[in-house]
Amino acid sequence: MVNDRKDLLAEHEALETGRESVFNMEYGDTAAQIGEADTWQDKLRTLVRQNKLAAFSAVLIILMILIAVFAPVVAPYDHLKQSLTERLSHPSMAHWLGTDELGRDVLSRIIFGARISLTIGLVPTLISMAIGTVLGLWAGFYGGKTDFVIMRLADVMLAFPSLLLAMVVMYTMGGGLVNIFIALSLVNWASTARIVRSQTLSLKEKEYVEAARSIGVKKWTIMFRHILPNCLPSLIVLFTLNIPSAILSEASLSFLGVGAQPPSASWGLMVVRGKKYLFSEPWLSIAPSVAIMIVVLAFNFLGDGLRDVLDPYLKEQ
Amino acid sequence: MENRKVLLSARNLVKEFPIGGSRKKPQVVHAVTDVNLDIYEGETLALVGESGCGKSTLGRTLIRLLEPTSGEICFQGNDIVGMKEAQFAAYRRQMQIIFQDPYASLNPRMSVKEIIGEPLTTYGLKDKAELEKRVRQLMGEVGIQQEFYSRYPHQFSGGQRQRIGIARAIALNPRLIICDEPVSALDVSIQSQVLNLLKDLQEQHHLTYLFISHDLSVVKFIADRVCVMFLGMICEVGDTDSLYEKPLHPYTRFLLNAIPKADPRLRSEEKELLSGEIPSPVNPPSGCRFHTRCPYAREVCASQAPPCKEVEGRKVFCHFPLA
Amino acid sequence: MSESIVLDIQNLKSHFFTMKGEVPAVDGVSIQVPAGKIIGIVGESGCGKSMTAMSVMGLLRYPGRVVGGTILLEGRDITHLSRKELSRVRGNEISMIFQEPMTSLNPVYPVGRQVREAILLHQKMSKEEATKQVIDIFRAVGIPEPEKRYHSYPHQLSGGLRQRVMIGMAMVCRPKVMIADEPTTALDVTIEAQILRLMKKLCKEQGTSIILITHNMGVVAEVCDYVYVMYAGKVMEQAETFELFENTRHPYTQGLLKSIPRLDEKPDRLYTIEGVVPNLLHLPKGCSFCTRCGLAVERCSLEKPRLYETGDAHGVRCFRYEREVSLDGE
Repeated sequence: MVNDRKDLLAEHEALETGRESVFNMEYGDTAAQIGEADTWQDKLRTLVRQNKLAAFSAVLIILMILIAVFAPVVAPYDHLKQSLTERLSHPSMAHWLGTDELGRDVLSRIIFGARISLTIGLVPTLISMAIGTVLGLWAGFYGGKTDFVIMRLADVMLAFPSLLLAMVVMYTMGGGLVNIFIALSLVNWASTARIVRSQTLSLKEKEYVEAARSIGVKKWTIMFRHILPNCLPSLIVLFTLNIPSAILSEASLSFLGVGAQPPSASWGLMVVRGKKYLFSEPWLSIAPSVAIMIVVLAFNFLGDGLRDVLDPYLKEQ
Repeated sequence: MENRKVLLSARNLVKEFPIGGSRKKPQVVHAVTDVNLDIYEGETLALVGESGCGKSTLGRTLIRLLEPTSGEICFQGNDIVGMKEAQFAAYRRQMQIIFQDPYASLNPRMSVKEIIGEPLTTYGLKDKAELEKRVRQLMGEVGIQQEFYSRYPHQFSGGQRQRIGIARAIALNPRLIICDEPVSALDVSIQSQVLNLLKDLQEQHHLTYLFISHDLSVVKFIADRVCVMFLGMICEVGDTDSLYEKPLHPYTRFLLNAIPKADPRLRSEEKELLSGEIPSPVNPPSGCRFHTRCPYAREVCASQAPPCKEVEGRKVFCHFPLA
Repeated sequence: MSESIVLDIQNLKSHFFTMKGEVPAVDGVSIQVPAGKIIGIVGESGCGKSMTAMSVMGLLRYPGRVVGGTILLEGRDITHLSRKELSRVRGNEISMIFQEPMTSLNPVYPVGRQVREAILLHQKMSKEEATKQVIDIFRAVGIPEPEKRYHSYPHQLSGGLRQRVMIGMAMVCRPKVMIADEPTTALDVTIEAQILRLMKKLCKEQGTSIILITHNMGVVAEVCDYVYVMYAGKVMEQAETFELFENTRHPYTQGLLKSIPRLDEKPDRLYTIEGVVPNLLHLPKGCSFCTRCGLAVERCSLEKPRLYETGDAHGVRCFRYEREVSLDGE
């Protein structure tokens, strides 16, 4: 009986939600009427007002990008300069985060490591998303056999653990930054392709696409002028959410020894090198871990915030 | 009417949509079944019916936005079904369409100049000054103020968006425009503005309209001839005035009866209403598709499709047309 | 009007608090609903007709809020009830149906069960009795084969049947007032006529008052007893239906009626009200219709007219009827 009551209330709640959606529709009408429509400026303002965490994350990310760009100026020491007399020194005024087993300043290495992490976050994500976008558009727009082949390929990619796949690529091609780019670009396109495809499927039924067809606009023009720009909000959100996973993948690959190679200041590499001294000099691995955590969290918070204002549709999925 | 030139004619036109089912028994939606229709040059032919009667599908099929399943469509005497894209392009620009939803029919990321200019650039107008001149002229024709040249759709009201859609449709100087419920999403006071505009444009550009609508009062105002459809088939075609005065098909009569009229004196508790729901176009009733709802139906209606009868110069598809 | 007033809305004000400013979506609306009558609220989109209904139902959400006025249900003030108290009033004494029934029906449960839950939520009875009552209700609202339809899911029903289910659900507790927000706009004409007839029948047989919100003058003429015409958040004209259509007084109502194409005549051009509905954020200083009104004089753009009583319970918000008594409570 108690359960029944709960059920009833749950359903009542569902009804209320239905009514709220009616309210939102009604409010949408009024909003459109007073001209409070979806310009970029309005959306950014909404983001700043409603989601302080996301706004703060955006500032943090900009700050980190600046630090990475101006690393040689910002860093107190050269990140590769060894000083064997100062091996494993504890955090002090001279070395805020201490030094590692070769006497290199940890703070400077983290600052230079930001360059690697951010590049890894941006470049392979851009490449993989470009591949995914084109394939997704193609599959969604043409449908039929093209669609089938591309999407089954994407399914295979998604079914395979991506880290394992990246490792296989790295083992066959060897370590190094460029190879990480290639490996991560190859494994991450499938999710983008899926989302772009589903959006294309719904966008191509829109009347403005039909209008373009009735005029006789070429298929490629329709794809790139009418469909792609309307996928952009989702793509931006996806981009901010894909960056942290790429950064994490790089850290994992480097940790496993198939990613960045010493002496480069990759954060993942620093964690693994510090592992030996985890109990005696814990800052060696904790500091880069915290750096990874901050970057990843900042991108995730920003992505969530952007998703709420730019793309309510994605949220429901 | 016979001496006027036929602009577009459809013969035995069929459009079906597969919706799955098993391989042995594929299921299809019979959206348009065996339609014969002539559209005369310079007229407004209204296509009337309830949702699911296939009027929008028929409109889109006639200009090959949808490929017909079978049958032929002749535009100025040339069969355009199965024509190659390159050859068809010359016909395509003569047949345009105006949509129902002014919010969905304009790309939100294109400005007014790009939207109205797109048909022009598609057909090779490259000169920027010429393009701007033409776009501004079109804006003037449909009543959009010149200062909105670079604005985006979200900055416009529903009525203004519909005007932009109309400007895009007339940009290529088409002969035929399919108006797919162009005013049903608009407020009453805006609706009359757009209807007047459509009428003016027709006069100035010698346009032919296929006006698709469910609103019989609007149709009465704008159409010269009316074609009533039910579940993918034509019930009755005829001149607007005589059809409204004396409907021959029972369905037409009930449709006219059901419209709420803006005059409380015409209220009547006893007026005859159609009962029942609209049957599914997946499994349409046999014989006359209207027979399940028709109070005058007899045995033959369920077994045989009604023949086309000529009554007083009108065509009616009914075994027992109302006298 | 000498009948007993069931629902009395006095000087209701509901505003939206948006980033661009405060939007007066409903700006001092007074509506009286007598027992067993059908009241029409008619107007174009954005005129505040639905917001009025939402305010009465307590359904406003951020950024909308009721900022003034009182809502009396049989003399009891329900303006400031808590959420819990409101949900008891809602469904029991006032219920609401919407344009698209799908938004209010849960797609994963059979419709019969949903109506039964609504009964169980408000009344004490066993499940079997409730089921029986649902089938009776379904029969009353004209659903064919009610026993079979009880087990249908919302998507298996046509729009007309879904709307019948919603009306059935709204009538479960024999509410005193039912608010119907564009109940037939999404339906075909032949189905629309059926639903309107059903609502009229329920109103007559069960004594439920109905507030019918619509943009369609035809629907109003067909079923309403008394009509309120709204424009930009205000009532522009109010009168009994016959009076309103025969002695239309406000220039806006006149224009609206003239611009509808009619079945019995075929003019060359339709009458039009020029211009567009004003932006609620930048309303004219005077009468909100003055920018589109053909009869406007200088005063109209400077001063706000009140709602003036012109006899026969006919109110007009226009200076041309100023010598009559003001109906506003101001």
